[in-house]
Amino acid sequence: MSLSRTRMALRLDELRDSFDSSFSRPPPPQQEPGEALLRLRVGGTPLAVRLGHLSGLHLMPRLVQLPDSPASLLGVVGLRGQLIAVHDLAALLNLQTGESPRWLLLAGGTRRVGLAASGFEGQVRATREQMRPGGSSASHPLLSASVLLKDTPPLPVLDIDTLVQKLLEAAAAPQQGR
Amino acid sequence: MSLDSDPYRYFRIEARELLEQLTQGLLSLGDGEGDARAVPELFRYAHTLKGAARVVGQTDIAEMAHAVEDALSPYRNTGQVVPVNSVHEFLRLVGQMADTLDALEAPPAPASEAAQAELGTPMVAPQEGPSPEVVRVELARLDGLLEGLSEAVVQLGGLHGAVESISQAHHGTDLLIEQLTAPVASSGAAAERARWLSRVLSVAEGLRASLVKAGRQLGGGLGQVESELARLRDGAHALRLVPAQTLFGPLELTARDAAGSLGRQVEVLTEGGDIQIDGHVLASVRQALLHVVRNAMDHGLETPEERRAVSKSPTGHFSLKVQRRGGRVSFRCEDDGRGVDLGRVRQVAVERGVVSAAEADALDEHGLLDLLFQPGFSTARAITDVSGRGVGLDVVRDTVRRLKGEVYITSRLGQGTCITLEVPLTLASLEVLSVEAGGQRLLIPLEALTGAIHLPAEAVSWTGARACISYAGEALPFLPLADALKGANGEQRPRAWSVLVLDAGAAGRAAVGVERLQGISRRVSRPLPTSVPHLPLVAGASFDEQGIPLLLLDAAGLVRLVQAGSSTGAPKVRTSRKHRILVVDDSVTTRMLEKSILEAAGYEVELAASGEEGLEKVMRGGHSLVISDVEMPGMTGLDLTRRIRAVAALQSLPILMVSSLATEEDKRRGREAGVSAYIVKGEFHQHGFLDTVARLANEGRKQG
Repeated sequence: MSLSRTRMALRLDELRDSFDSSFSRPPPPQQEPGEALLRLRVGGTPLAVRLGHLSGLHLMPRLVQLPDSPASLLGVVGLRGQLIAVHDLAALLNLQTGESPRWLLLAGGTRRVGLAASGFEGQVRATREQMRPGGSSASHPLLSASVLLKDTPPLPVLDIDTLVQKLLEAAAAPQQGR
Repeated sequence: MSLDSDPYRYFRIEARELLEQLTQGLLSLGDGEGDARAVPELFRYAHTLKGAARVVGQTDIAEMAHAVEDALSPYRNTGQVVPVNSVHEFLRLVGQMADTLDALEAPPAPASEAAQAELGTPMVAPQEGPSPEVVRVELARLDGLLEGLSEAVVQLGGLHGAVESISQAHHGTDLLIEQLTAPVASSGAAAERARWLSRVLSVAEGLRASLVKAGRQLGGGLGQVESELARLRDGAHALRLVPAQTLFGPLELTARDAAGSLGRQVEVLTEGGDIQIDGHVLASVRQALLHVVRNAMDHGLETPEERRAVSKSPTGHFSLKVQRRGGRVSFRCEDDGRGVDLGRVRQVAVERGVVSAAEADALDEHGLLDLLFQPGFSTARAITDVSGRGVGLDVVRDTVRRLKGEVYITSRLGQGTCITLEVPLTLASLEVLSVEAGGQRLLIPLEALTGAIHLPAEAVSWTGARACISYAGEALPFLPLADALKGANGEQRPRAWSVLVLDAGAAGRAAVGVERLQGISRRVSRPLPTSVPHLPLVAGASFDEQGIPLLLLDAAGLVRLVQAGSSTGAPKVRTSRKHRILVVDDSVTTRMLEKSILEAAGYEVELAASGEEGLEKVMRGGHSLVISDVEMPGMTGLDLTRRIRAVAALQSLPILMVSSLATEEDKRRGREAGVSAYIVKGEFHQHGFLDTVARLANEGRKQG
């Protein structure tokens, strides 16, 4: 009986010491959760977009084509009472076109520019170390950054903000006068 | 945005309204339309503004409002008429208060990164706009919406009946199952089974009745709710629409203010104030119009003395006409001032190196007027408080282009200038015809529709891809709408067409064929999104009942496309230019003879009956050759030649003299004046004449 009481006292001391000493230890390093990216398939090519640069991802609503518009402009859709122009990511990135645009990405903040992708393959997280800045070997200047994930080839990351900016600038360029 | 971060938030709205009311009241006093009874009201506006300005520490505005209040005081209760001079002084003060208020509304100048770092303030992402835009809404429209909402709620309530019927049907199903699984269903005497069957039938009939009732209630109720909600949606969109009338006060004030400070008199005429336009567009256009007004007062209108000298009334006129054209709205600003001196535009453009002398020579009237929109281009000889710094018309074009619109200018020397701003309506409530073409539902603005007829396919005459129909005795170009939109020639033609005859004003008339007409409705059209480039065939879009976009077609774009007879895209701009020849002769016979010979040879001919008229026309530019008589009353051909040669940009323009004067001395005088070639009327041969014309016209173009 006394033996077990001694053991218990020893165990209590051990626990007390462990508890007290925990205050003197530095906090353990926190694992960086990493940035969320969406993995897409565009023109048969996998690529990623930063989730923080998007305001929505939807199954493509019914597209209405616009007459006499550039080939990369697929048309307009209605989304919750808003009119959204949908641009073909594959055409804009000079990738293989012709796949059916199944997913609609919304970018451009309040100006809501729609971008069409043929496939949505899930979400990934990447730490700062896994992100690689632009390189000259990219297939398109807007795909120069990439993310290195375990056991997969480098995944190009689309610079979606620059792409949207270019689209808006091109649309705002003055038309030819009469 | 909290009041802490924007202490003037409410003051701006109130002050803007009070200034608008003061302006309107003072303008009517100035016109003599308002009577002295309006003075107490104006006094009250000034007083309220003074108080509000003091509360927010805007002492400048408070003092000016106080000055107006003070000066109005003697007329307040006496019924005395306020003298016109005082009214002008009050308007000036109101203008100054509006300027101060504008300055208060301007967003703070962006601080540099270094300055921000010094202040220790974090960098903040720039906002989309300087402050939230505000729109005033008539209470009646808001009440209409609220009534509609109440109605929709009532109609939704009616659907509870359907829920009850479905619940009864549910109960009926339970009863039916109960009957079908009863022991008597599988065994029992014949009489018992007959009774059972009768019960089953009765339950089944009850079930069917409940379902029919539910279906009827749902069908009718949903349809009503759907249409009520669609009306509400359109009504809510229409809340953004503001009458163009709200532009007129500030513009009139600016016009009078600018004219007054330049010693000119102006009467402002306005039209189209009831047209409803998106408040956002109106706010942007307002700034552009203010520049146009100031420009017209400074460069366009003459002083009363100058006007009297040319037999005009001492008071100039400036008119603003607002018109809606399909998906666009135009603001036509016209003055009856001195017009644009194209010769001077040409001269200034060459002097400032905007264009070379040769380029200036090649510019036609349109090209020369276009130079006025170049940044920093001004023909004003002196800078005034109003304009002349070359800032203004370029700002106008920039503003209009930001709204995806265009600006056009025309001018007649001595008669005035007209500047038209045309912008797409971001939001418009308009009557449309819904049609089906190529399997797609499309909207066509009703105001562009002249007629709709049913035509058998044989009534359309085809020549290759081009077609035409006969309508009211007129042959109109025709194109199936589906071909126009899809850029392909339809292989299969229907047995009959529903033909729409479109009239796009200046763009002309044309007909399009559709498969079906679906009816007329009022819809709110919205603009295409900002990432879509300008598309000539689409004015905007609305939504159908399922929320799918319906394209609203642009009548003018459609008419141009049909006229071009092309089914593969917008009409191409004509790049080749005919030689344009100006014939100056006081004899109508000679003029018409030369015109017919030249036109038969493929030249474009412009006529002038005097040297003065010829000079005015030649200054507008665009000519390859001038053919002139020598002896004319007033300005002779030689005088005309000298005047043309005095303009640097026109020194190389070929001038051919055709005259009855035949001596060597006459020819020498011609050469000295700058004449390029000389033909004697007595030796006039058509072929020789045309050879000389061809040689000179080609020289003129080469040099151009």
